[in-house]
Parts: sequence; C-alpha cells; structure tokens
Amino acid sequence: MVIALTRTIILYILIIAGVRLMGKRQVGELEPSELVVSLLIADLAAVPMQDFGIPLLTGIIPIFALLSMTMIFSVLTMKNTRFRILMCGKPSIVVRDGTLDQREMQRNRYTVDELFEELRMKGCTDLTQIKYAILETNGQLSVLPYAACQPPTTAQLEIKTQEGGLPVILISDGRLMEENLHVSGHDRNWLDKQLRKRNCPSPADVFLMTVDETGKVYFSLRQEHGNKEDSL
Amino acid sequence: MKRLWIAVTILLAMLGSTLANSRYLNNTISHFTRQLTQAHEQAEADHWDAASDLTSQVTQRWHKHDFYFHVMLPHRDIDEIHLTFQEVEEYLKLEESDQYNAANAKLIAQLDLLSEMEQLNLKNIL
Repeated sequence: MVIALTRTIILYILIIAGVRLMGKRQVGELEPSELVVSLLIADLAAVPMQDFGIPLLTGIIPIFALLSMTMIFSVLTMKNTRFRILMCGKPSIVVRDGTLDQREMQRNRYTVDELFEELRMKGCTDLTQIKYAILETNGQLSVLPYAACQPPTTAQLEIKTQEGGLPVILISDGRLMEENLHVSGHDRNWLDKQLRKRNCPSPADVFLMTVDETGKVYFSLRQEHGNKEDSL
Repeated sequence: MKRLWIAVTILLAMLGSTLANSRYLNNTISHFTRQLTQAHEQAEADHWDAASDLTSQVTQRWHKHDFYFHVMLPHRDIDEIHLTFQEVEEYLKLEESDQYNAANAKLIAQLDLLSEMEQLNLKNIL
C-alpha cells in the first residue's frame, strides 16, 4: 500500500510537470493539475473495478492521495504567486495593439492558423481591430477589441433602461418549490391567484413557472395539458 | 488554509498508516518464516510431530489473518501461499523429507516475497 501511495505522488508530480512542459495548447480548458486529476482518477478507479483479485484499497488510497495533493496544490496556488506561476504559467499576449507578437507565439508554439481559428470563433476577423489577444493559462484565447470597435452600451448612448430580474423557479415539472416561493417574496395565495388567471387548476399541471424581481412571471403548462406558454 | 491542513493531514495519515502496515506485515511474516524454519530443523532431525505442530501453528495464524491479507494484498499471491500451506501439511503427514523440504522452502520464499513487496524501497518504487 505504501508503494501505491508513493508511486501515486511521484507520478502525479511527473505528469503535472509533463503537462506544464507541453504548454498551454494541450491543456484545453482545464488547469494542468485539474487535467492530471481527471486523467488519473478514472483509470485508478477502473483497475480494482475490473480486477477482483486486486484489493480495493489499491484504488482507494491512490485516489485519496491524488485528491489530497490536488487540494494542497490548489491552496498553495491560491496563496503563493510564484507557485501559481510554476503550476499554471502566465498568460501570454499574442496580439498587442493590432500587431502579432511573433516571439510570444513561438514561445507557446501557437500557430497563425490556431490563432485565426480562435478569433473566428470569437467573431473577430480583423486583427487591426484587436487591442489585445491573450492566450490564457487554460489554453483559451481572450480577445479585447479597441473601444471604438466595441458595440456601445445603453449607458454610453444615455438611454434609460430597466434592470432585468433574476428569475426564480417556483414550479418545476409539476413540483412546487416552497422555499423559492418564500425567497421570491410571495405566498401560496399569490401563486393560486396566478394559476387561476391562467385557468390552471393546480401546480401539478405546470411544467415551469418562474418569477423575477420585477414581478415578471413566466408560465408553461405541461404539454399533455396543451402548449400554453405566456409571460406576464 | 483549513482545507490545506485537512489535505496534508489526510496525506500524512495515509503515509503513516501504510508505513505501519508494512512494518506489521514484515513482523508477522518474519514470525511465520522463523517458525517454518524451526519446523524444517525439526523435520531434518526426524521430529515430524514437532515439525507438524509448528507448521500447524503457522497455518492457524495464517488463517486468522486471512481477512487482513485479502484486504491488503493481491489475492492471487494469497491464494498461492494458501495452496503451498496445504502442500506442506500433506508432505508432513506423509513424512516425505525431500518433498517437504522443497515445499517448505517454497512457502518461506513466497512469504518473504509477500513481505518484501510491501516494503518502501527504491526497487519497489521503480
């Protein structure tokens, strides 16, 4: 068992080092330590699952060791900047003031094709409109266009708008969420009144009902009762 | 920081308990092999009853630890040792010197390997 534990710790550190050395491209959407844990845990669990001759502890101890190591690394990453840079790396600015930073791209082994693919997915086709494009530590590309190329906000246009509310689910698939009803500041009487307004006999006939802070109600009957949807 | 200490505690607890397990296993197996070696010496001196008693004691202690061994060690190895115990006991009953010596030596070697497998050393890690 102590061998399983020691090997787990050694392999975990080695794989993280390997993933870090591979660079941001391979990491995808996860941080290196997260990627390693997801890769390893599934395999570790599968081994004693398939081979009944292996003690269950052979899978459990490495899994707990991995989870403990991940927790330790994530707390250290949070508390210590240098450790964070060691584990996750630093974001790289690949486009600055509309110009490609070729050295940064080479350093990250990031090709022009990959850059343009990411820009297209973000709806940007003109490099000259981009102030910064940053290759993040999780492999994602953040694009910050010039202010003049961004759509104006209602504040900039001096247009008064009403704040939208956060909808709270009151009824979901025929089940009344009592706690949400109280949280939204309403009671059963109010709910019954809303149901009567829509000719609905009971919450069990409702597929979805939400209310937001402005009092706007979204209502959808269960399909076997007809396709009635409205929002008041 | 609480999570950090919890994680460190879990890791250290696992390290401590697995090391303690290795030590316990080593001590238990050493006791078995000592008694089996004594049984071998008794058999060499034609004291088959004494050899049989000693081997029975080891077999009983082995069975008493059955659950522990099955939880901690590969089942295949445990089953092989169990079969070798049967072999040794049969040769003792028949008082077959050559066969008994070979089976007993095999049993001692298997037990030693079982213990060695769990020790924290470079050979096992690599």
